Amino acid sequence: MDESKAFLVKRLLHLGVGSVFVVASVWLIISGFIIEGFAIEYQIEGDTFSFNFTIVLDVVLLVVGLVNLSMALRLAKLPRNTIVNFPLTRLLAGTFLVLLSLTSAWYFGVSTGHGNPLGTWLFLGGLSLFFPTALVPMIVGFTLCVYCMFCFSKIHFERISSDPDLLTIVDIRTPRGKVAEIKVDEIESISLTNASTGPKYLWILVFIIPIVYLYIDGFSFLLNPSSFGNAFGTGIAYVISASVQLGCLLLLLLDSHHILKILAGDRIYEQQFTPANIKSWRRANIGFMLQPRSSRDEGSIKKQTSSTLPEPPVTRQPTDYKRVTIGILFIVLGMLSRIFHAWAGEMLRFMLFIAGIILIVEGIKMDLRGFGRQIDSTHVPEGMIYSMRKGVYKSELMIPHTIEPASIQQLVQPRKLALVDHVVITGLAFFLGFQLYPVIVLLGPETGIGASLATWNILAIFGIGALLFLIHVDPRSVLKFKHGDRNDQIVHARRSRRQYNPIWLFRNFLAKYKIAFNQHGKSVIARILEYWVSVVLGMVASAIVYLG
Amino acid sequence: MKIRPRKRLQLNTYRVTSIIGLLTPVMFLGSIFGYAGYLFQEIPSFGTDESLKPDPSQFIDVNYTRLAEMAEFYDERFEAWHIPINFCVGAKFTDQNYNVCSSYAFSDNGALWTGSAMAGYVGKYLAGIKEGNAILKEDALRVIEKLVQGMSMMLAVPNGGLGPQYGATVARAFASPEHRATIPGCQYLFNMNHFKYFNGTGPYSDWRWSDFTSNDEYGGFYMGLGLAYKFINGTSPLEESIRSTLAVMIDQVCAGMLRSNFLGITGHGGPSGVDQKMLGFQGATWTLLVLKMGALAHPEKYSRLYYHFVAEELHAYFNRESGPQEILSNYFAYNFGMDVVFALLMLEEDPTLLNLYLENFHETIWSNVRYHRNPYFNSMYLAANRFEPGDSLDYELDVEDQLMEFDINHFPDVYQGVEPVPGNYELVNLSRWENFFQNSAIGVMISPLFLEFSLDKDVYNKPLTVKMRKTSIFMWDGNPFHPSSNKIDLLKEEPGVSFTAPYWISRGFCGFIETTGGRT
Repeated sequence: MDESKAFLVKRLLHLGVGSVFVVASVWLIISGFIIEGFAIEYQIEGDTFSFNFTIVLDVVLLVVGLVNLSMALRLAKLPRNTIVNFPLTRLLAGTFLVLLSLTSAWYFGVSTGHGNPLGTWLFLGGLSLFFPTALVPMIVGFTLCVYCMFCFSKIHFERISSDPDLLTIVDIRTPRGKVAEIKVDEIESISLTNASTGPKYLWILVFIIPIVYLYIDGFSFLLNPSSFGNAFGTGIAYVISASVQLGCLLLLLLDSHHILKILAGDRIYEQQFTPANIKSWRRANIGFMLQPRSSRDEGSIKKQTSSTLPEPPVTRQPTDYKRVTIGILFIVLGMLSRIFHAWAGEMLRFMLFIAGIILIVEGIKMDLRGFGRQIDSTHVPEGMIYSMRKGVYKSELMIPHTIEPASIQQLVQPRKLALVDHVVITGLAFFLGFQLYPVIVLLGPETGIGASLATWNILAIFGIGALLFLIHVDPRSVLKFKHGDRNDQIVHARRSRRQYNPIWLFRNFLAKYKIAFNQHGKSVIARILEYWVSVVLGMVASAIVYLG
Repeated sequence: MKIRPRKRLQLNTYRVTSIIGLLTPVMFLGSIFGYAGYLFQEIPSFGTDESLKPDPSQFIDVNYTRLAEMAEFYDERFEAWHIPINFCVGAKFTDQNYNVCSSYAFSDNGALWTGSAMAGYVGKYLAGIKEGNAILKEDALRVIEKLVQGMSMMLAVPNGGLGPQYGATVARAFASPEHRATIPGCQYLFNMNHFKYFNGTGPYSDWRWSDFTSNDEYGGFYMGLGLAYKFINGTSPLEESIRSTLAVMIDQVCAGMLRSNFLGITGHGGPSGVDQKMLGFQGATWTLLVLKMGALAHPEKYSRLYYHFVAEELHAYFNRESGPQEILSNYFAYNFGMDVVFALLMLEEDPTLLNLYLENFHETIWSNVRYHRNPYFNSMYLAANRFEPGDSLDYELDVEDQLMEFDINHFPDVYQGVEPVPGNYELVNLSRWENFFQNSAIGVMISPLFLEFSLDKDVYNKPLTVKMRKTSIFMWDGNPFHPSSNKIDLLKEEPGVSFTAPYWISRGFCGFIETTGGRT
């Protein structure tokens, strides 16, 4: 079936589904059909009220129907130079959270006061268990769903190869779009990545407290041999709520949010988008953006046969399991400390969970590149495009031919740290120090246990310090391109597959750290100092609280 | 699409305006909530002001002989009439001979008042030892044995037995089918339609108990349990039997609470809302007290846990209880807050930890109640600080003065009406705050934070003393700044623990109350 027929079939399908849903929802609303029991009752000042959720279901059906109809009735196919932007993962996360809150409201009710057989929260005869299980998800979920309603946009790329040679990016969104015209000969670099998490890590702060407390209380109810009656239902509800929130958190952190950054002249152009369909996904590459109407086959772009720019010395992407492994270790340590009430106190435990999640996400997005995959380098008229891909996540860098050879360096250097890396280092170190101080000061010899706890805490500081040193110094071979006050770099591997034997790895490991220390000694020392200064600051803060 | 200059640090009008625009709502909201925090302290500040400090020259001269007579009377009445099922209740009599009980007055706070009574009887036991008075000691042990039996049933009936394998729910009250027939007043527990009353568990399935146990109950219960275990350390068979039972109860409380993550559990199996964990960097005393009891009774099981919570969980920093707001909202929170803090302070002997706990005590709950003319709180303060007689004379005299006032209209402990409030007591004008929260924009915005403040009730600018307050099952639970009703009911007798608890704590723990004579 050729493409136009397939498109027609698709439109007819949308039309059919949309019509059925719209008609069904309208009929359900007009007929007043109600699903018995799909309601909550609550009391306000002694009067009992009831709200049935069938109307919510009707509205959802109506919206789904209208969306399908609008897709069926759109006038034209997606133009070849357009990327459709819509944060589907955020909508999914928001939807799951809203469904969780509705289910929780139906199961637990929202009333307060004594006599609730399922239990109450926060104080005796207090709030229904809807609040701990679903208040945060409800607020976040509805906010995400409403936010997504305003996120749809289309991004057009246009190249006018006249004098001047302009790359035009048009971002069409409600209420107002934006146009950027960029002179191609002023472009110093273009980077495109969907492996950057950035401010999305703040979602961890929103979800981590309810997730941890719900898991702890939930498993307390489920695993307590003395549990009976409603304990099991409550425990299951708590665990489900925590799991849904954890899943949504991971959805939000791991989603494929693209960031396009173009350095041109004295400006930085930044476009963020999430491809909403397969075609848009395939078009999310620098080659397409530079030559948006290059051919009917969107995967191919006009290439140049030669370039003065270097290909990476060894065309392998490095694979690194350290951050994922250490992230998992931190989370396991936090869990074990809570299960056995040993070592990490609550504040340090939360920091372990936060650090663990950050390291796992960073590791999945940045480090777990499939071994053996090449760093693709494509010569185009504008410059060289370097692409590093692994499944869902990719990073691309375009360096123009006009860059001076003196601005290109090949070296071994400590890993470039982002803000979250500093959060992990200083946060963990601070809370380790904060906890160590009372262990030393409060638990004297009379307690019979002070020395033992102090020893374990000090060992933990050194142990975690060593692990953080491993992942935050982590020397890498990089190809660096300097543009004035900025630089871009490609991390690459300097070995081939046959060199992956343990002895070679160990020698290479030591050699790299030696080179990094010799060439970037100040940076390495600064990272070590950052950790230990944070430990000391933690102890000082603890002393202030103790003495204060 | 965002377009920005490459030179990031350049400040321009747009950047500066953006920064100010972002900071303004943050600063505005911050100042609103900062103001709310200020009001939290300011509105009830009349109850903590230094001007409330009483003038000792106005105190009644103490008569130790008379106080001892009163204590003996109260204790006899308590043992005879106020522990029919071995936990503390009031009693209604048929006539003023007070020897025929028509009905017992179950308060539904049996665990709390029994714990308070236990604190007094442990003091009596210590007084017997210090003074070399074997009769006093025997009297105390006899009653303590009964109270321990009652408290053990408060654990056994809801959970099915005694031992670490059972849960840690504490009953507010309980009764067996036999009690239903023989103890008038307990029949309310056999109301099968009331949401609060349940059948017992296991061998106690035909017993009934009152559920939805609050932290008030747990506070008094823990205090009684902990003080009894710590201080009853003799070698007689009775003392060893008592300690043995207490050790099992402590193990059950510790194990049960650890398994339930320090949550209260209802008769339906779900959470009751009671949570004894630290919240918002305060309230760590509960967990510490439970584990300290465990560390004393079963060091091999709970000592490491206790110190883990003390230091690694940072609970020693945050065993801070209550704030000034309870003066206008839930005054009873001071009572059970003092119970748990007092118990922890008496159980902890390590000087470093004790000093830290005392510091937190002085800065938080004590700073709110120190001038409330409360002999129960004052005697706890003196005992917890390990003061020798004479070290804190003002508080000793205050305790003695208030105990002497019991002789005016609370001896015996029936409703004899109250003395009129002197003319130098004035009502505090709270109407301006009521007006603020109802009519001003900022007040309306922050009023939900002050929902529990009783701004529409009359409140005196000074605490009422014993003679101006009506009796109750435990006087120190009530707000001394509220006008007292002039209830007269000469046939209803309360247990007298309002007197005996502070009296015996002062005599047995502190040692400044003598047996006879007056203060020299």
